[in-house]
Amino acid sequence: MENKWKFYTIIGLIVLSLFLYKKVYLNYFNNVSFLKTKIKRYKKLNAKLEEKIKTYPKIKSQLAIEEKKLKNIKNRLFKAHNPNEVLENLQKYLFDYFQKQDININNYRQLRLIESKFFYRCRFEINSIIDFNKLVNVFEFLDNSNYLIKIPEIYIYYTRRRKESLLRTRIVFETIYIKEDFNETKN
Amino acid sequence: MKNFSLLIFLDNENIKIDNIDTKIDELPEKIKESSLKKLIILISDWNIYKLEFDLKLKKLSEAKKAAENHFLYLNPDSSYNPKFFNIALKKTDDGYHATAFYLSKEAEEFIDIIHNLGFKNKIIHILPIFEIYKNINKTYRIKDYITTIKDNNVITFNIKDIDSFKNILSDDDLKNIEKEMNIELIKDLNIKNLNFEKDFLKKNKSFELINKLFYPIIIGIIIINLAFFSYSKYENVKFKKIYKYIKKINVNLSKKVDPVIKAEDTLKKLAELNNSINIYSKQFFPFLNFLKELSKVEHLFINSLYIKNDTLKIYGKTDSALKLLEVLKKLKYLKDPKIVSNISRDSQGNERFQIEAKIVYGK
Repeated sequence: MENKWKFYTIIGLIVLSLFLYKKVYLNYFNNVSFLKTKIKRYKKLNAKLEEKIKTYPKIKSQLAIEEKKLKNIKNRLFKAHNPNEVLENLQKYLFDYFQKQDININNYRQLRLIESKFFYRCRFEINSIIDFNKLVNVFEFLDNSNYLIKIPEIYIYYTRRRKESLLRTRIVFETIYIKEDFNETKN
Repeated sequence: MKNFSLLIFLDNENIKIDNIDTKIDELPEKIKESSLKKLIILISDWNIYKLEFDLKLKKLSEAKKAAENHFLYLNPDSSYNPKFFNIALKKTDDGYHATAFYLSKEAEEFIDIIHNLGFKNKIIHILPIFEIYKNINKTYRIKDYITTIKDNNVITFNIKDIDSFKNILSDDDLKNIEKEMNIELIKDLNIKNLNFEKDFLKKNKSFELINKLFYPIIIGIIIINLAFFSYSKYENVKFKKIYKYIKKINVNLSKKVDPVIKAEDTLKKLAELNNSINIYSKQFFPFLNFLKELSKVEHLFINSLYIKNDTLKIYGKTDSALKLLEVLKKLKYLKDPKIVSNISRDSQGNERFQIEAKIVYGK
């Protein structure tokens, strides 16, 4: 049959086309769909990034506020390089006051440091026999102090000495030391 | 594949064109499976017409041309122009006597059908049956005759006695034909059992279609391929460009967003730090305020006071421990103040009490 070669040529071309479709065009099409997916993802990501960049001024202003807050707090803390130094400073500060007020200190001790995520809590304990007015003055002094000093523990016991009404007291004073890495952060 | 020739007996009985398709459907396997090399159609005398006329012309060349024109002019059936005809000239006293032989319309249509079945380019020999009959037992004449046909590819008619072909041609005669023509004949065929398979017919039709549409199909396939290639390539290049562009934007944005992320991170840490310090600063007992409130209570003597682990404990004397309890309950920074010991009275009628309360932060 003389038409046979034509028939087989057509079949051959169709087979070649299918082969090309599978090996070449389909690859291209797959690549296109892959790129489309990636482009879609990047578009979403870019939109998110743009939104984030837009929030920069707001973050900056918030950061400034927070830094100011931290600065204020920092101003109320004892300046020191480590928690023990803070304890020393606290001790000195309290002793100065007690001396000025002529309050007798029976004994004192530095308590353990309590560590939290951001800072150390530095405790200092004073035992003293004091009259009521002076005790009130101590608390007033602490309230008005520039330093951030708190009292986590108090023990007050009424006692009489030389016909005087006195208070036997044990007061734990506490302040904080911000950890070094957070000091760096805020700088 | 075996090459053979198809010998078709075309006699009067089977010349009806209407029935040919149905008969062709049942062609023997041998033909179906083979490829035809030559096709010889034997035409019966019923389908060959004779026309005689005289021409008063002296020159043979003039007479030949005139005879042909005259034949076409005299053709009794005006519905078709015979393709296969032969004119024999015989010299007379005043010119030439012409004898024209031609095929019937039906016979020509049959030949057309055979052409359309795919034998158009085959050598088709059309032999009148009676001629073979005449030359029976004279194989050399048959040879001459066939040579003539090969050369001219037309028919030579010469009418003599007529008889049925089957009865005339013996097996030996057929063998002689085969030998002379160097072909193989299918001997049992006449138009009655000359039935082509439908598939064969269809195949031929489809091959005919392929023949017609070969170049358009090839061009179509190439165009489709080119279209696919160019489209896919174009799309690929286009999206690669878009991808590169968008990735570049992403890199630029990432550079810009880095300080934002850093600032955000710092802000988060600072906020957390400030918040924890804030909570810390609130986490203590407002002692002065508490003393002020206690000083408002009359007939109260506090023996001792503890604050430890967020718990307040007071030991003392008062004229009414319940009254003191009411005062303490009003304080926001104390939760559930309660008398934890038995209340006993001293000689002066004061109540000894022991009160306990939980400290609430941030109030």
